[in-house]
Amino acid sequence: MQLSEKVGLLIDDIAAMRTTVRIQLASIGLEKCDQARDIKEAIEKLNLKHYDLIVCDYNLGKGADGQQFLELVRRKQLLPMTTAFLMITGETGYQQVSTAAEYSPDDYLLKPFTAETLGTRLVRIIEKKEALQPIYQHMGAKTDFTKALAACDDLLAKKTRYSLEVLRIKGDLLLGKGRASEALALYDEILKERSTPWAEVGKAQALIAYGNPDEARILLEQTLVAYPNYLAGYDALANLLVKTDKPAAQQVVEQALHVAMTTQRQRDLGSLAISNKDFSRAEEAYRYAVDRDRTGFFKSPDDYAALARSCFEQDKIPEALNAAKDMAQHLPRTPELAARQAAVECQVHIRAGDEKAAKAALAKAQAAQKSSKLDVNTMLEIAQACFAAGEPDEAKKIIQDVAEDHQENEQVINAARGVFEAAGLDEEGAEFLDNTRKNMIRLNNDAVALAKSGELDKAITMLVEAADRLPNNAQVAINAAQALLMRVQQQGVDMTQLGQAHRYITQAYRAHPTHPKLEGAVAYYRKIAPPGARQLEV
Amino acid sequence: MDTLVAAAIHDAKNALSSLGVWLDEAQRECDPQHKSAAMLQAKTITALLSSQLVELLALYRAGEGNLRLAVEDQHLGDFLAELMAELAASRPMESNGTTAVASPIAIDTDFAFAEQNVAWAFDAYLVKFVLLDALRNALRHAKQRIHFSIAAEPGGGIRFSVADDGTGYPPETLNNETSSAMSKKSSGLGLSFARLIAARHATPSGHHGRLELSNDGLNGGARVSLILP
Repeated sequence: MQLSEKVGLLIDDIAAMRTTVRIQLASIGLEKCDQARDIKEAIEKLNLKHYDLIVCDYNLGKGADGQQFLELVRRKQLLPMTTAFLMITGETGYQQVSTAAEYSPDDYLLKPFTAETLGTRLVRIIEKKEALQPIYQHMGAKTDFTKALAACDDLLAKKTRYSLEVLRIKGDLLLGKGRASEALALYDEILKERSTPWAEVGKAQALIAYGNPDEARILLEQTLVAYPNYLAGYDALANLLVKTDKPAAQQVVEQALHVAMTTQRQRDLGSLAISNKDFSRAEEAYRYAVDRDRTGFFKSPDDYAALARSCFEQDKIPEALNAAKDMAQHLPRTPELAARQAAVECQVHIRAGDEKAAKAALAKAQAAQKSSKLDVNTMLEIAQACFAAGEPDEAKKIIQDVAEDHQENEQVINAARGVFEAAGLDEEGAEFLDNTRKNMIRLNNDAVALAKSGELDKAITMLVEAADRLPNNAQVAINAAQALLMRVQQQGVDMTQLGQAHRYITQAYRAHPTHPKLEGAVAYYRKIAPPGARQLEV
Repeated sequence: MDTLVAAAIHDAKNALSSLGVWLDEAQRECDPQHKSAAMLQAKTITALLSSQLVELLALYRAGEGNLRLAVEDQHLGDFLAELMAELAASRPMESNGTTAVASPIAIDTDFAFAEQNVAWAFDAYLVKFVLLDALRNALRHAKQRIHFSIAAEPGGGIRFSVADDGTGYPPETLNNETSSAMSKKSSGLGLSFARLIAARHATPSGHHGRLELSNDGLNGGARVSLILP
């Protein structure tokens, strides 16, 4: 492997540092290397061109760091899995970089370093990326689990030096697919030889998926004693506890914040603190989240809305109104944002006893809701405002729409439950959401029963209506597609119906690319579709 | 979060690292051909101070309850190659009158275990300091030879071992009497650091690392072993 054939991108906010590292890179053969001085420039460059490797300084100035950049580009899939990412850091940044949880760099290098060391490390990670390419090509935006798993097994059989990395990817794939017992066996096999943080946490995740949360909790607690720096362990434990013991989950996130202060973790803490009615802690956390990031890349209306709530729950009315105003000032103006701001302001005014202003704000938010499609968080904010303004029926109507559409999305359902809880309607909320869930199951079951009893057309009508109303509900879309395919199979090829089935499978894929029933529907389509019918691009 | 003391140790370490750069520059300005023994001494002491500060920082953080290891999978082959390269780059030379010459001590290695593509999880940064310290110490005390090896530890774990053919440890050191070590030339900082880093390596099932000192090195010389769980 020759570095002279590779294209690199160097990111550092200090010009002198860029020059030094640029000279070092040139001396080891990497002549083709672009430079960026901040996240914005780096993203522009990434959008234009493919890079084989990125060398990024941890400290990027203006409250931004290389870890935030890495998380952003990996999450938004701007950076292919095959691009190598090397973080350079001073000793102070080292603790932060080495603790990165979900998105970690391929390697990191402590300053000062020689050109030779830089070269050795770059060659090493590029060789690793190239060796794992057969797996990576099936991952990313369009993950094909079956092919990715097969590629893992292929590489494992070859007994390369990367076996442990391959097992790590394979474990993640199995967990993502819900194949808990296979994942558990894989982690046990690794742990028999040696302990390593990711396999311990992987095993705990497999235990949770396997339905053994108590054993998982003990394992995670022991793992954090042995590896107190391993953030993924805190995240896994907090995620487990959030279902049963929110104050304990908040404690775990507090511990993780001692290890690494990140904006995302402050958000997690703030959200738990709100659930635990610890509003002053929530205010502190969200204030950090909105103040920290001066680049504006990671700003979200959710942070401002939560900050406003933390304030007005403590009767800090001017602070709450300021948070709502800041939301409008620091983010791009869209109808959605205006609706969000109005919904937040409505709740602040209610709290301050200003009913007239509250009604006006709510009317504004509701108008936006009727005229355009809003995102889940804005919808739920409007529902919250409806509860506050004494319009519970309106609130429930909105929540029902959201809950039906996002039935299988635990995060959204939890957020919906949070709206009831904030309105002091814990039990009613639990019952309401449970009924919504049962209704959706009934709809699917009824349709299946109709189809079985020979009334396939009735089933199709029902499912198609639901799938068109609920674009984010993958289960409904899959069932609609399957009913249509069954009809084609029974009564001969009908291109319109086949086209509809194609559309619903694509819709399901967009909503939930890892849905367990999706693969079956895709296979069914491919079996039924005659040559010349539209190919499925999933 | 780091306190003032930790930040001050940091600053001192950064200052030392630029001192090292200036010493190189001074050597070049004087006479690039003739390796000055005095300059070499100065460089060696700078490097020693720098690693002592890293060790001090780790001990300080441990005392404050803030030392957390960054345990990650390491390919043992890569790790040892980097370690040996770093040792070679900073290997103390001997002075021959006013001229510096390479030290004649040979380092034999047995890395057969590492060459089987074994990866192990540990804090590479801190373990590297422990091992460099042990190797430099052996270079100071060895007569002719040093043996550096890695092997699987029976019952689980790995063992790094550095043995020399010097006179061995004094009995006080073997008996772990730190006070007497203090009264000698060495403060015992390196040893305390090595013990700390060994002990802090642990697994969820409760196995801990440890440091073993003995005089069964080459011809009764010293042997130090770092066992990681």
